[in-house]
Amino acid sequence: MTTAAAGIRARLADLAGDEPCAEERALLARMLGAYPAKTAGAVRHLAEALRSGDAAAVEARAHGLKGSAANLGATTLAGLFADLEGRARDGDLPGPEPILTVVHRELELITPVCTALAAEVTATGPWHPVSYRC
Amino acid sequence: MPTLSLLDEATDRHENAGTVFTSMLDRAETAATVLVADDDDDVRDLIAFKLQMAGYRVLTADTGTAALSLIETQLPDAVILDVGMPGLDGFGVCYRLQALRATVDIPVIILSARDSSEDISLGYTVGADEYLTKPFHPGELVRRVRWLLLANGG
Repeated sequence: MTTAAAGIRARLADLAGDEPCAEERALLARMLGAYPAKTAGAVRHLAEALRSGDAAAVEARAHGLKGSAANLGATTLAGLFADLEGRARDGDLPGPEPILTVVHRELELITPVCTALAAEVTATGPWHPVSYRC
Repeated sequence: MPTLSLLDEATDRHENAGTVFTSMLDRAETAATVLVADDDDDVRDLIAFKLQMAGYRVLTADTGTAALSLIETQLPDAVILDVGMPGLDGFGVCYRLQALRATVDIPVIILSARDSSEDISLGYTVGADEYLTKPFHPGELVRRVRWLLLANGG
């Protein structure tokens, strides 16, 4: 199991418990399915802020991205955004392209994991967040 | 040596106290309304779902201004506030609640990804009863809501 998948799966287990009901599974599937596109859009806004050197906007965008990544269990992404948030707060913005390259690469790793887990969550039959083996 | 009747009486009182306590919890839980304010719809909906599963009625808002308006008109029994909402943030909402007689006693939980000691201190300074950091843990959040409602006489 990849690190990204393990982090998200652990978070799903924390959120859903042992045997989530159908409604909860639908909610989790929606969250998983929407995350890549929603995050990509937010990262575009972050990129604009970085390229324009707007530290306050970078801090706000990074904070929001950190929260949603952490909520999903995407811990590496959450850490990247947390670092960026801190640097923006300190007025020490990094060069846009290197950090954005790393963010995009991590998002590319996360996307198929989210898609696969969303399908798994919505599949019929019993579903236990910690029992699946990638 | 206590007589059997005294022991029975003590046992009854103990069991009755437990029953009364459980009833208090039941009453606190089943009639309570909780408002959840967060601009992240996934977080907001997850929290709302968990609270509904725990038996609460839930109101939601995606901005601080909307949250404040709902709180003032609906007078929920408890409030959960994100900080980083556009416009009026969670700290601002909490601060304003303290200034109104109708809302000053509503227990507030701040739930935020801001985890610095300065932010936590500010949260309590503006009147929050609890400050929890994200990512939230559903069981812990529901327990905190439950105990705040009980402590508030709900």
